[in-house]
Amino acid sequence: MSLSRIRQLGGQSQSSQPLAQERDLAVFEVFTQRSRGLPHVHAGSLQAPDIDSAVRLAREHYGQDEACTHLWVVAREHLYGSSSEPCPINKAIEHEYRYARNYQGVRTLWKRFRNEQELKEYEKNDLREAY
Amino acid sequence: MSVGGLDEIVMQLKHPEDPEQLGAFQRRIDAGGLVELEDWKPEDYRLGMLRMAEHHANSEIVGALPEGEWITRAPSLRRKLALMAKVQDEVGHGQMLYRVAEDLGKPRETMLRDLCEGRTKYHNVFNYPAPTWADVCAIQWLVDGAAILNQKSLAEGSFGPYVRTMKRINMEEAFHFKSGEEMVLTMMSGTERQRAMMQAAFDRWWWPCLMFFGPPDKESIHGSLMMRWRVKTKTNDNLRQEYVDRFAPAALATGLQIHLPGPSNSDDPAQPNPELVIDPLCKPDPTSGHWGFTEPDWDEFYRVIRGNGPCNRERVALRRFSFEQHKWVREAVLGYHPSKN
Repeated sequence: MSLSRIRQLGGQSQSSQPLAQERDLAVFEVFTQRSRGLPHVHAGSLQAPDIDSAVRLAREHYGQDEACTHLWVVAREHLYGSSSEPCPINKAIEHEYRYARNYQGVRTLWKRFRNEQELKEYEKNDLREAY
Repeated sequence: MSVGGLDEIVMQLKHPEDPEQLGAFQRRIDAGGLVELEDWKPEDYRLGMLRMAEHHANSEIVGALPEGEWITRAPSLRRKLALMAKVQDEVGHGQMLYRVAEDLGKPRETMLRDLCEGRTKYHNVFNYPAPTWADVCAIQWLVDGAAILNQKSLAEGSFGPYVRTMKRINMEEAFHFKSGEEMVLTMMSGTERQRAMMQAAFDRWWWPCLMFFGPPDKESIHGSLMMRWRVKTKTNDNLRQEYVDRFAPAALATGLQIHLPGPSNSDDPAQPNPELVIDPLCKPDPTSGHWGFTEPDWDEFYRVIRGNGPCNRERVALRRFSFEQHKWVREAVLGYHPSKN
């Protein structure tokens, strides 16, 4: 339906049929990749009558908001989310031993054997970004 | 690297490619770009990357076995929890990597079956026994340390899905490594008996860890093409040298000795073999600063890779047992209907 026709209708359908938009549009979620190699990140959603139009709209809209190299578009009805309830097992047990950042005592142990300079040299290859 | 060497690449290809596509592909790689699943890639690249991801996935799955057997015997609740978490992580890494490999064109079921039937390999290092708790400590420090060094270099690779998986895996490896350091340092701060036990385990793991990075570059059959395509970013020998530079001085500082390869103490695996001698080359070079080391026993490496290591049969048999035992789970997931059988 053309925009002029919609304006002419003044937002009120004169026929008993709903407007095309109401009847046929589906919601699509858009994920953008800001540069090659990065993960796709949720950017927002849009409405479109079909997947091809959704990809085209997503490129125009989200692809121009911020420069991006690639887009994923998926119909919202095909996204399945987990429950937001915290996992009862995670709540019940402390998991501090699962994280490298909780092993600060290791440095103290090393200091029994190595001086500060040697230790600094050795720690250069640690995966600091993971702490 | 220049594109000038394209002829050299063409000569190494097993599957001929269109030179223009090959050139464009190489330019992207040389510019530091990443290859995504939907991009055109040479068939040899796909196969090389698949082989690497599958081998890595197999290694994560089999790597959980030598440590897994110690969960029930961990010396404290904290160590038990951490070890369970670590083993669970490794299996999870295997799942992620099988996904990467599967997207490159080999069905998961075939990969699992090939592993059980000995048609595909996993890291040689997991074919060695872990007879004492100190072996668990050594594995988490030395083997995970080697894996991290390797995986950090692979995270600089060219295949996007694999690179992103490496980064996720390394986050968890950081915990394994810290936990390993804590265990080794606790042992080396302990009683004489604990230190002896740690030494015996160190003697068992040092040489397999040096071999972990693969044969010397001059013998490596898959080397140069994989380097040109950034499937690998560092050579085996470079990684090995980096490893020795980091771990040899650290081990010596804790009071461990670095011996030449030799058999374990046959009477008691918790005691070092008194006949082992110190590696005379293991000291820093006064000019370069790099640590020396005696060349590992490459005959042993090839013997183990051919399936004749100390634990090859045991590891594959356990994997096959689990695979068969859990057949019903896979069937249940796929919707088992008695009427169809």
